[in-house]
Order: sequence, then structure tokens, then C-alpha cells
Amino acid sequence: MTQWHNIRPILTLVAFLALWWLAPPVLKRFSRNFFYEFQAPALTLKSHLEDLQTYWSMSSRSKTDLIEAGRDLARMNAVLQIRLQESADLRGEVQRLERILHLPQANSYHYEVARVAERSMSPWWQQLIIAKGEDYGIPVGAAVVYSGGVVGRIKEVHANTSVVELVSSPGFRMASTIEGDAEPITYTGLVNPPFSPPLGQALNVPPRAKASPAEPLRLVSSPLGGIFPAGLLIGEMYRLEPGQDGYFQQGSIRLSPDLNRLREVAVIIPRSTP
Amino acid sequence: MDYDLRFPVFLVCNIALIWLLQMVNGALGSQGLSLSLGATLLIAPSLFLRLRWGLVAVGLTGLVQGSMLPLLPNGFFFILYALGLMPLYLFSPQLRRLRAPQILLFGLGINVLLILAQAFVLAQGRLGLPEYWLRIGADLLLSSLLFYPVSKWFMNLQQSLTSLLGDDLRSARAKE
Repeated sequence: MTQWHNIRPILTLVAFLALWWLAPPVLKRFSRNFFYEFQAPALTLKSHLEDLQTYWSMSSRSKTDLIEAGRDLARMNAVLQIRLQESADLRGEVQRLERILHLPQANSYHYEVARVAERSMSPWWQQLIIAKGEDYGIPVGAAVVYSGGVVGRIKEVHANTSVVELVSSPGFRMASTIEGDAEPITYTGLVNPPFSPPLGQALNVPPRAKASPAEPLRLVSSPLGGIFPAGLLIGEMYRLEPGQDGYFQQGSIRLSPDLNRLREVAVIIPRSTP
Repeated sequence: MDYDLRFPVFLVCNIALIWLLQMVNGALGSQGLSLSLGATLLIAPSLFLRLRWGLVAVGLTGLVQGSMLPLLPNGFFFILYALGLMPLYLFSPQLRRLRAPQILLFGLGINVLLILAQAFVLAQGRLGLPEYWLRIGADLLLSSLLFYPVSKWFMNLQQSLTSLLGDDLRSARAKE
């Protein structure tokens, strides 16, 4: 009787785990989606609370600061207005040439700006949750960028939120090139050590490339992967060493520390072809 | 079927702590650190609930935590917490007689084991990388340093909430 009393907790644990193991995959997937959507409103609320916090901290600024900020913004607005006009002229020219030469539309995507609601930066994965999902037509696999370059790729899409796998996440891979060069390079994310900016690794770097901490090379996105437009900054290659195959080199990439502090990102959504 | 009112209290507290830890880890992420306090979630369900209710509470806690993470199939934290609950439950008659710091010292040992279990299971070929173990070591150190104050506060919160329901966890421990 005493023996039965001793092994009863173990049997209960085994039965509990067996129940989960035998549960149909549909039930497991449903439970995952259910608990995710259960928490999604809290994420959005947290994002709004951060906005409120920013509002209160801004409202404590002096009038002089606000006047100076307004003046700076007016200058930036004037510059951006001119750039918008230039951009519209160039777009018109591109469309004219496309019509004449019967080329397919080059600008086949649009940007959807989204607020970052949650960050998860563990040794095993690095991801963001953004406050836009199926409700804004965000597709799985879409590229995510910010003013400083590549952010990552959409990994999961939910009703009102999406999960972005960061470019610094271990296991993240994308096609890239050295700025000004056409040869394809494979970029992969790495485990990020503590108290250092996020790091990555470049594989298959051509033997002629040379980089040093004083003269780093800029690694940019390549359109070969079919997701990212060409020329978006990924990071700086500051060290090169011989690769395992003895011909190509492999490079260490320093990513922007801003990746861990992003408040807003833009999702590149391909336009559906008619 | 008997129903323990402490079960929903512990479950709600666990979910609240998970959300708080997510916020803290969101901020710590920029420094390449993360805080992992899995054992904090297991102490009260193992000491004050019957085994099946304790397993359900920590199982649901694991499902809530795992749903936000890229872990497939879902259920990693469900299994991890169920296994982590067992040593606490098996020693619960002795632990209930101890003072809070001694219980938390035992909990700290479980927390270290949980972090190491995660490090080995989720390594995916990175076990030989020195930077991987540097990161795990830094997270382990930070989590161990903050385990006592956070867990003490969390236990007090659980005791306060259960006392609102007319159930005093301190006297339950004192009776042992």
C-alpha cells in the first residue's frame, strides 16, 4: 500500500504527459492559436500604454524644446516635399519607359507600416510581434524593413498581429551581396553574446573581398531570394577568414543595434498580379 | 469533483508573471540578456494544490508561454513545467515545513535545471559554440541573482490573493 502511495505521483505525471502526447495534432495547433489570440489584445494594449507613456514624457518638455522640434520638423518636411516631387517624377519616367519597352511593372509591392508590440530576444530565437496581421493582408514570408535596412521576415500571421523573425535570429538565412558587387553571398544570423550588438555571418564571400574593422564592407540584400528588394543594408562585414571549402571566405557581420529598439517597421507586401 | 479555488488564483498569477517577464525581457534583449524564472511559476502549484490540479495549472501556464514562441510542436513548456513540478511536489511535505528562503533555495536549484534543460533541448547543433554557452551562462547568472527577490514578491502576491478568498497559505504551511 505504501509502495502504491509512493509511485502514484509518478503514474499521474506519466498519464498527464501521455494524454498530451496522444492528443491529436489539430487539438495542439488549436490550443496554440487559442492561447496566442488570447494574449494578442494584451500586446496591443501594452503598445498603446507605451504610446501613452511617450505622450506624458513629451508633455513634460518645455515650450522652447517643442518650438525647436517643430522648427526642425518643418525643415525636414520641406526637404521631404522636394524628394517626394523628385520621386513622383522618376516614377512617371519609369512607367513611361515600361510602357514604351513593354516591360513588366518594376514597383510590384507596397509598404505597410506597423507598430512593434512585443520583442523576444532569447539565445534560441529573436523575433518581434507587430500589431498588424491578416486584417491588413500581410502574407507569410514577406520582407520587413526599417529606415536603417533589413529587419527580418514574416514568420506567422494571426488575426491582428504577425510574428517577424529578426535578421539577427540564429538560423535566419537570406541572399545578399557586397554593396557595388553582384556576386551572391549567403547571410545567416548567429547566437548573440551578451552586451554586444547583434551579429551575423556571411558565407561564400568571394576570395578577392577584403574587410577590416577600420574599413568594413557593407552587406546589402540581393533580389535573388525573391523576397527583399536589392540594396537594403543588412550590416557591416568587419572581418574575413578562410571558409571551410578553402576557396570562399566567411565574414563576421555587425548588425545595427537599432534592431533591438525598433518601435515601427514596414512590411513589403507584393502587389497581386492582375 | 472537488475544485480548489487556489487553482485559478495561481493560474492567473502565473499568466501575469509571464507577461511581466515578457516586458522585462523585451527591454533586456537590447543588452543580449534574458530572464528565465520558470521555477517561480511552479512553487505554489506544487506546494498547495493536489497533484492533478498542479499539473493542469503548470500545463496551462506552459501552453500560454509557448504559444508566443516559435516552438513546434507546441507543448515544450507544457512538458518542461510538468517535469519541473515533480521534484517540488515529491518534497512538498518537507518544503511546507521550511521557511520561505529555504523553499526558494530549493526552487533556485530547479530553476537552474530548467534553464539547462532548455539550453540542451533547444540547442539545435549549437552545443559546441562558446558564444552559445557564454549567452546561456549570462542568462543563468542574471536569472539566479534575481530569482530570490522576484519569487519572494510573487509568493507574497499569491498569499495576498488567496487570503482574499479566505484561504491563508501561511497558516496552511504552519499546520504541517
